[in-house]
Amino acid sequence: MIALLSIARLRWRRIVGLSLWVLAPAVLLGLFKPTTLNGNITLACSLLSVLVTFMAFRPEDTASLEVQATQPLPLRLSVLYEVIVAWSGVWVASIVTLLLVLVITQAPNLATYAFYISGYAALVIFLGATTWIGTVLGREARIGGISGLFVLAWMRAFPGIWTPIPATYSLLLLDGSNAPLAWGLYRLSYILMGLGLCWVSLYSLQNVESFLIGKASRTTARKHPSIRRPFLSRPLPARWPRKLAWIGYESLISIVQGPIPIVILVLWLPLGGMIIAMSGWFSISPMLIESVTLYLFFNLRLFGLLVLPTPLVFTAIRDRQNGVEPLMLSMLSPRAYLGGKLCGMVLGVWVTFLVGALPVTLLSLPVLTFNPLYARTYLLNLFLVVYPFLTYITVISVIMGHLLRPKYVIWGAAGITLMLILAGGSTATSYLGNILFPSGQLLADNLTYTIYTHNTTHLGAPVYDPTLFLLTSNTWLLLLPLISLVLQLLFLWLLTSRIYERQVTTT
Amino acid sequence: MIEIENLTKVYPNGHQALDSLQLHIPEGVFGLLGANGAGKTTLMRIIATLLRPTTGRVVIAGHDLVSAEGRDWTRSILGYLPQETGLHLDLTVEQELDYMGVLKRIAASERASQITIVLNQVGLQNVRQQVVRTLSGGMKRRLGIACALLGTPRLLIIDEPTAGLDPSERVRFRNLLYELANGRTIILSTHIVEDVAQICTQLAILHTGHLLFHGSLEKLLKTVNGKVWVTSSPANEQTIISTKVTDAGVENRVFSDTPPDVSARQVSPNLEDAYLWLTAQA
Repeated sequence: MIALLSIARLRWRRIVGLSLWVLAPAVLLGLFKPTTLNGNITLACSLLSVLVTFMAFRPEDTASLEVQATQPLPLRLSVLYEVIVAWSGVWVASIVTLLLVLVITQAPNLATYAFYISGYAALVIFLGATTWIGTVLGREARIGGISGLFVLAWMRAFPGIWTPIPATYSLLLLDGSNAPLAWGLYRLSYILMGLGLCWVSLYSLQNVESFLIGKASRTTARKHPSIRRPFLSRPLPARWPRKLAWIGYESLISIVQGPIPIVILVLWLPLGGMIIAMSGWFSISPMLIESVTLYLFFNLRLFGLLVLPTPLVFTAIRDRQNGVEPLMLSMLSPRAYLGGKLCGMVLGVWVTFLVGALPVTLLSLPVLTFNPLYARTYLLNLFLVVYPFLTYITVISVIMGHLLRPKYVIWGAAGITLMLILAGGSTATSYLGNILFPSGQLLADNLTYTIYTHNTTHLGAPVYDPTLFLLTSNTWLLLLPLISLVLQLLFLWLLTSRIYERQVTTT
Repeated sequence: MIEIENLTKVYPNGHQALDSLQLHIPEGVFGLLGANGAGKTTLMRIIATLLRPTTGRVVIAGHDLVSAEGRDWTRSILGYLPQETGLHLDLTVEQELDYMGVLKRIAASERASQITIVLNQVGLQNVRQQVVRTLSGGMKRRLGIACALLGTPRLLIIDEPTAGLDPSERVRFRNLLYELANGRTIILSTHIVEDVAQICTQLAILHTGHLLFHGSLEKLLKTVNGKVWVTSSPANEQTIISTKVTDAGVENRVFSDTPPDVSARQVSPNLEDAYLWLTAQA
């Protein structure tokens, strides 16, 4: 108990600080659109659960692990205390924030508030435990963080997939007033699942050797990668022009250094596509293409929002910490280096998403081939919605990674992820919002609407999204967010490349 | 080859890393010695175009680093090996070198042949297809020098090249640097005075941003000639350089202008003695 209190005293400032950093923009942006306020706080709480668990235990830091494992307090207990303190901090911060918001905006309904208190507890335990077990089994906090985000992305992508009353079953939608008993039982089941994962994590932590030796054996297993990944082990063709070869290498590095997000992408997209395809086969064929198109619309962008910025930011930091940056800057000017890095990373992200989306694309190919409308919609979505938006996020993340000091990066990455999500939400109701934050939402809505209208008119398919609302369908106005995106990136480049140049040559 | 005039560097936090440094670095291996925080890395980073001086200037073969043209020209003749090797651990050795070749603007037709040449020079031809992560510490340092050697640079800047290497790798690395010195300027920064003693023709000693010494090894040793003694008696007012346990008892190596006791014998100073003497005086 004394150890637990000591850890709490040491960590509370960091946890409260991080919670405020993530919760504040969620509340501020939600105030402009009260219907999303509770959802924003829930999302912030979810992200915080992953982030604080990510920071609580870092087995890749072997030196700290060795010191921790040789103390009288067993490693599993010290990690458990860290996790308990972190989760409690997030839970308390979230429910206090929600209470304050309810008091300010409306008369608090105690019954609803009680639902949220227990709902947040289930949320923190389940997502935190997912992150924790990912860290323990993957022997890296990064793997844990991505596991947590992956589960969260799935939950957001399909909040009510199995049920007509999503709030009862989904962990992220927390209105339990329709069926309180069922709601409570489902919260309990999430908590029990989370505790089960915690137990497995604690059990695995008894074997410290697996963290110290297991890492080495995994490295040894990659000794002859040319056999395992022939395409990624050869130099690029010498006939490539030099600048293209440079960008090609930067993108290759971003791909080989970030295998985990790619693996998830490659696994996730086909898996989701298969589920949708199977559900499509059992209903009507137009639903298949509609579902696939929606899937691409929302989940490629969602994946970009949730998962992409953090690894990209950390890649830049890693380059700085392991000495890559000074080496590169001895050969290139700072602006040339940053420019090459940006182009390479953008290309790497494009290739990754193209490969990741390939199975879904193949699944929808029969329909795309025979229906020009679907084909056009698909291509417009990919090249005018998904790719520009990914480029936007990639550029912002890479620049942020190069400009921020390492100790602020984790907060910065969390902040940018949340801000992007929340800004993305605000584009649903504001045309100006779409210009300020060019997420592609406006065009995506139009493309979705086109498909809905076509299916309803020609195929008699049910319109199951009556809330769809078009802000404009004027072609020229639809292009303005894209123009805004290009101008923003240009301005960002002119500004940040100067700042970066000044930063690296004076410090 | 390199003229450094009145060079001062003050970081934004107010820390003065270099103070009015005057230095001439000729062709050959040039050693930079100094304790942690002496300003060695700052100086090397300025010469490598990574940092801009607060005042003063660096001129390399007539090209002033204050101008963008001077910096671009310097990058074209520079090979830099920082203390952290800065390698991409997930690429293969060949890919890493090819990538560096691209950045160094080596023509596509020459890249493959240059890679073979530098791999032979550093003795890594057998691990060409191996992933960088799987190399030993010594091999990574050699790969780092191979990267620096691409494009046949006239100026090599190498920071702590032998730190963390086992004795045989250290000797091998020193020999390699000695071979490479022909027709080049190599700036070698290190804490290990033995490395400097073995291969450097000229050296400079920095202390808290100031230049303590600049010249040849012989000149440096002369500054402490006649001042180093070995005695078995406990040191009184003398500065102890080192203490060694022998079969006959404890032996102290001390600085003194006069014999510290009747049993003391004068010995020839080495570079370590001279370095410690100068820094103690500073």
